[in-house]
Amino acid sequence: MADVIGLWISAILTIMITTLAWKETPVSKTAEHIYLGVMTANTLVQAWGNINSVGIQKIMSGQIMYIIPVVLGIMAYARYSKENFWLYRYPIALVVGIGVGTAMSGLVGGKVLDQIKGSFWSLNVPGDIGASVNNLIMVITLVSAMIYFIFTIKAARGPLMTQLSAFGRYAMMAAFGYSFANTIATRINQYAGRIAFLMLEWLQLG
Amino acid sequence: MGENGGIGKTLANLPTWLYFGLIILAMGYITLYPLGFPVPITDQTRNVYNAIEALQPGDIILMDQGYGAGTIAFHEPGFVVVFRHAMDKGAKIVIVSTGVESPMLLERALEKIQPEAKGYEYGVDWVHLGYVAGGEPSYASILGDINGLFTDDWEGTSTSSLPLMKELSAPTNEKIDLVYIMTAGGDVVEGWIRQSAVRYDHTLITQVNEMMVPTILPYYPINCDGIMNGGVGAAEYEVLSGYAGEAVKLSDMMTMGGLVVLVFLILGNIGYFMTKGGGS
Repeated sequence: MADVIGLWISAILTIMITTLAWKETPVSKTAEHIYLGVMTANTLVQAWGNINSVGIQKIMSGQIMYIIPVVLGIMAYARYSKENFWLYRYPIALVVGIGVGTAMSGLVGGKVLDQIKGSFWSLNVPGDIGASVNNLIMVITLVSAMIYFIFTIKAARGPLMTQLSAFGRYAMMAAFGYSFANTIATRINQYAGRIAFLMLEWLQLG
Repeated sequence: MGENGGIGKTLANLPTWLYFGLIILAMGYITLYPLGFPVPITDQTRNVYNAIEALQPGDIILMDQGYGAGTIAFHEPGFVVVFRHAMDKGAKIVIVSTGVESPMLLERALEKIQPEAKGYEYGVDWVHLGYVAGGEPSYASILGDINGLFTDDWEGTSTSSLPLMKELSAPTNEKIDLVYIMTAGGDVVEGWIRQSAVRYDHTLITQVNEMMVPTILPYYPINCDGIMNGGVGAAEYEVLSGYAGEAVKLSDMMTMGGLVVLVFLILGNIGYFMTKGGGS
């Protein structure tokens, strides 16, 4: 029975939110607000579960040091008080510091060195002319796109460099087009799932 | 200008309800009468498949099942088929969730997978540790000492009583053979790449939604060994593994929806050039 009720709620909410394709109405807004309410409630429950298992339970079991992150977490709420706002800066400084420090550990390797290494393509792949041409295109687009971002050196403004720079701009526009197409594909896939749900699971037409 | 401007204006300003309505009609029709468009296999998906195929019995996969309700249509089929393939290889599976919605969505996927039916015992062959907050520092903690971070699993069972978790004693990263990330957040994959692939040289594969693929491509294949590209990637994986599932069914709808968008893009551009270009 619960499954059937869930199925109907899901189907009705899907149809309600779909009316947004026509225009924003109280029906579509109601569906949006229900979704936000449910998600907020779920996030609160999950967050409490996390605080409980990572903080409270450990303190209760005698690991007293865990009181420090719990107190820092409480201090974060000082942002809602004008008098005690300054307290909020300490947990934020710590979170930013730890976040940046952790990310730095793999940043140079992953974002710089390995990507440079990954851009060394062979221009002569034996027995595969397609791969050789592909790699040549990759090299030209990489170099030309980088030239586009050289603004301050006069030598970079010569005729050849200007043309390469223009080519780099078109290459980037092609990449943006690829990104845009991927965004559309994501949205279509998301809605395809809902259509399949409505027709196959709810209406059982298939 | 007059006639061209009239047609051009109409084409450039087609109402959105027509656009959405035709997409819905086209995809609805294809749901009932699939055309069976071919599903060509890309190298990116094949590499994901090969990474699972290379696993030996007893190898451990760390899965970040971090997808939310918005992307369940294609992430869930991908997760289901990879989980089934991993069970075929006898790999052990450790699931963590970096998305708040993810743990409850996992229960839905597990109903389809039925690990017990394959002889997979909870706590011995697979575990579900639930949601973890904290972003990248939490990924570093998981790979440092997963038992220190998760004292209980998703159901509240103490992790010290689960045999699989004993195998993951610190340093956890040395016991992990493969990292598999499913997410709709680009920073999540980049964070895992930094903490796992770059620091510990783990084999890392991912399933992301299509709009995130351009963010991940610069890391492929040096730091990210394989990318399953949203629903299309999941359909490719289903074809490769022989587990025909929901993604293959959806792939026809995606193709048809994409074709309708393409037609509207062409019409919109014709309208634009008729009014701004040749028409003016």
